[in-house]
Amino acid sequence: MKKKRENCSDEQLMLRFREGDMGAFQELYKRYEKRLYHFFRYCLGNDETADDLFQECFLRLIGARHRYAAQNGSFSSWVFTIAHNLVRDTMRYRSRRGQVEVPTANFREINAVSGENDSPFQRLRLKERAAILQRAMDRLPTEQREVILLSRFSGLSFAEISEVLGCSPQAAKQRAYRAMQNLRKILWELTGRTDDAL
Amino acid sequence: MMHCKAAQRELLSLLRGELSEGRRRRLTAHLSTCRPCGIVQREFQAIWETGGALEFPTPPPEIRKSIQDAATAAVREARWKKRHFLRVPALALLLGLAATLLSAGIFSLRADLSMIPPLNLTIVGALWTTLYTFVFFLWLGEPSDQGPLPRQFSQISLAALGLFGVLSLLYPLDQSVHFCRYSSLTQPVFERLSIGGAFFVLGMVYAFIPMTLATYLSCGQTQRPLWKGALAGGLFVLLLLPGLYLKCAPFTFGILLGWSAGSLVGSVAGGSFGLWLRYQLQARTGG
Repeated sequence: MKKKRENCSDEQLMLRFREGDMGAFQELYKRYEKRLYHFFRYCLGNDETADDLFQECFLRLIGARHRYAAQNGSFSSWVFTIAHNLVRDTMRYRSRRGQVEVPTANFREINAVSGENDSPFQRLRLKERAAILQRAMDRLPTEQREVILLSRFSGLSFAEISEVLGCSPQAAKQRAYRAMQNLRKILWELTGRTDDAL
Repeated sequence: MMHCKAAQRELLSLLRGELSEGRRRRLTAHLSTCRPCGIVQREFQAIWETGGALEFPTPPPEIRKSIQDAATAAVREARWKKRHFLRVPALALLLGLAATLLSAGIFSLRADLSMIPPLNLTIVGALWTTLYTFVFFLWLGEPSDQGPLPRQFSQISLAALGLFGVLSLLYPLDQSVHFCRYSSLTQPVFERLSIGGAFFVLGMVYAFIPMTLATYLSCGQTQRPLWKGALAGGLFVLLLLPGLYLKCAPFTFGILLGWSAGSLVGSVAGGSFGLWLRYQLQARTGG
């Protein structure tokens, strides 16, 4: 008897989708929709480009479903490798055309998830902190921003991040550490001390 | 004892909960005694927690819909392939055999097959069955929403061949040749072209008419009509070649060559012309 879709791993869902199970795709989409969308929005800032790449990422996933092999690594690292390649190609295209676009998320759209019992003051403070962090993230070079996004929002382990970035797990860890240090410095510049600001 | 540099490098792993129990204990012990590392740890933690509280809007519904549509089409294709894995080749072969028998029957009404050696007949029959099977496979082998071109080409070539079969029963071929040879109007032209050249012209006309009709009737508006029409015409003439052999083999090699070359030119031109005509008319009427 088949396992319930909710209890299946991503890899099992992908294999089931490959065999023609639409419900498996919907479950995968549900699991990755926000993570991938956040990744593109943070990486590229520009709404339309992020929307296009998000769509393209899923279309590539659908198109390449027959080439997916579960034994070659986790589904997460596979799908984020597609996302990483799309971002890399877009950045290359922009730099070739001399477009130095600072990826800036629309601050009005930044929402901070606060607790139900938080006071309005606490909610406002969390929103301010989120906005400051967003500004700091925007100043990071793309590759550093990307590694922070992968380690914070994508739910990937360092081993999986290393597969996405094409380096060793140690190098991925080192890159993430440097990115965090850089982020701290930027926060200092923006606000003074980070622990005061955040 | 842990060094500060090594400790700070482990901070992200600590935040992510990826450290083993032993390493976690050593790191927390170091952080409780080392003030600079403790500060870095607090700052990292603040960044990490604020990052976790951020929330972006979900993708626009139209993007979600187009992704779901693409997945649905892919699933339909996968199911279709699974269901028709063996059925399509078998059905294409059966239809190919039936079409060969039917075509041979039609051609035998207008040509004397007893003059062709049995081995040649067998080879032509096998070749015709293979070609028909291939064309039927193109037709049946793809779902309607995936890759419409091979399907369309196969439909056009089969429709053109059907028309050719019907028209070949109606065309007054013998009378045409007789008229061309002995009429005072056409005799000089016919003599100048010689018998091969005359059959080239006749073959061209015979292939052009069904191919033009088939492409005009089978296709909607299409981009690059000349190129696509030529491809469809090429497929049609491939299907036609065994029939031309059956019809012309008892005559001279020049007639066979002239008829075949004329059919090729007529098919390609007819295919392109039919599609082009359709394209122009639809572009004018805005259909």
